[in-house]
Amino acid sequence: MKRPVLIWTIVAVITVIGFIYFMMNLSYEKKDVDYREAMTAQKKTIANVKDKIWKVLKQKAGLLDKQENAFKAVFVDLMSERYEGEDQDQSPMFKWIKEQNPDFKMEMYMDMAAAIEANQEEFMEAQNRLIDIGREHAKLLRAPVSGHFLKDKDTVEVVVVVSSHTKKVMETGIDDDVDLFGSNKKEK
Amino acid sequence: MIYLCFLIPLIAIIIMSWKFPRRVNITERIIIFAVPAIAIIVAKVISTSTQTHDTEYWNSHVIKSTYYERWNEWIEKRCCASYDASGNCTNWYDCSYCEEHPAYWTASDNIGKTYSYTKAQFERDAKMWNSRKFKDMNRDYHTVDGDVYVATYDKVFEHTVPIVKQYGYKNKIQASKSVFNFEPVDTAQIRKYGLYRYPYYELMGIFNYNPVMGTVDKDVVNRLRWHNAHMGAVWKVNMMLLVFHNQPVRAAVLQERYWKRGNKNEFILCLGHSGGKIKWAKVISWTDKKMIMKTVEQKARRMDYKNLAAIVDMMANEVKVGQFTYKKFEEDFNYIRVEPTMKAVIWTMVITFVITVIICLIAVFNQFECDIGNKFSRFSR
Repeated sequence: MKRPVLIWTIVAVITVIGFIYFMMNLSYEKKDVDYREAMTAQKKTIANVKDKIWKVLKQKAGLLDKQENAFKAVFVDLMSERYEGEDQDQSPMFKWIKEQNPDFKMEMYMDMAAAIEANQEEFMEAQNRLIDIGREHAKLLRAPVSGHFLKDKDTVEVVVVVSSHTKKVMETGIDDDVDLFGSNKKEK
Repeated sequence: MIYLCFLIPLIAIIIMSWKFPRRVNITERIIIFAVPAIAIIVAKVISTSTQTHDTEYWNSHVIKSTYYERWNEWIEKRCCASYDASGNCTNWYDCSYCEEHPAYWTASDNIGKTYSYTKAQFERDAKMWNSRKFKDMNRDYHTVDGDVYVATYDKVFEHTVPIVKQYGYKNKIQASKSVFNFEPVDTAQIRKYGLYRYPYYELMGIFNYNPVMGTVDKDVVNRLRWHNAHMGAVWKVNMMLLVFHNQPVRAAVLQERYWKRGNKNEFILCLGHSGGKIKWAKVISWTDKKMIMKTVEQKARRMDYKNLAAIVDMMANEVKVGQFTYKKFEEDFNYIRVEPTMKAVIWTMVITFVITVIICLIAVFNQFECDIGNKFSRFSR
């Protein structure tokens, strides 16, 4: 009598374990899909934020569509210069916009400077969210239990938008191009 | 990880079936698994919810103070003195009594909540608002006819009576290694940069909180409290002002780290003051409306330090015009998985083991025996 009861109990226990295993597999597979979808959606959000930055600046600076390419070309250089401070009317960005749009006033520039900072922060936060989702996804793929269920899945590479200077620094590990006091600044 | 605890009752069932096949019946086997399983799930929920629990503060203001006068009423009642054998009353007597209702005071705010008030608070409101409306309650009183006096807010900004109340929310960031989380700030940095501890609203009381740190100017404190009180109901915002004296802007960066960017509905303006001038301004907030933050920073930098009340007004106005929204923590960070801590897992294992052992002992030593044994008797040797 002893053996059949034991066998049936073992069968029941194995069934329970099998059910838990199946449910865990299903749950981790779903999480993997959710993270991949969230990353795709976040990439679109980043693109939207980037696009919005240009639109906001164009509107605030009162620029025309034909000036878009010219603005985009100088934008990175302008952004790296000081665009705020006590001598704001001397800032390269203010001067550049003033050349394109003579009606551009200092009050409008102040508003634009706030918009630039706000959009930069929004963009940074959107990128951080993508990095964070990628981190959670990588954790899911590598953690002891979930990693067992998802061992055949690949991590998704998170591409972060950075300036070419930052990219070079990250690749070489050298950042000796610091010119805080503008000693090497070109004459404008 | 915590789900590995499920193996403990499962292993126990196999051992029990092997060692005591006649002493443990099917129901007991199910109990051996079910009770520890419930304990594991409860432990997981408690561990994750305590890690993610955080508090935010909602502002509102009193719109009506009410004074309920003392009154009494006569309660007619008959009581039974003795019963017959079948439980019916055979002898009644009059046990009527006078029930006293003491005076009490309440305050109602603009988000529909009612709070207990004191006589002094009611009198202050009635005097300040110049309002004390009598309302006859038409009570069926005994000897004291108590009625009601209502004082209604006169809609003068300076006569606002603010209330701050604590509410809980789920903050997964604080329980994760998220890039949005912040490294702790050490005590040396706290001292060096004069960082502020988060105010204990509970100790201040719901009517006496102070959202300003670094200045004791009563006018500034009151103006910010009044703005918070009026805007809290619409935008759920809690604005604060921190003034740093002779500190670099790094103080604000560290303050953000120290407070982990504040609670989800907060808008904290940090001002750096030196030599009677504002040197820098930084807003700490989780809001997605970054434009409000930058506009406030920019405008505050150009304002006069001696007129902090004007800065507070400007901040409130920008928050209103920019239509502040608080961070939707649960939606925006729902991708973060919060696991029970290792300590919680170990404790759950110990508790599961103890519960399993206790149930196994009960199953072995109780009067119930295996009811399926006979079905298998024909297979036994």
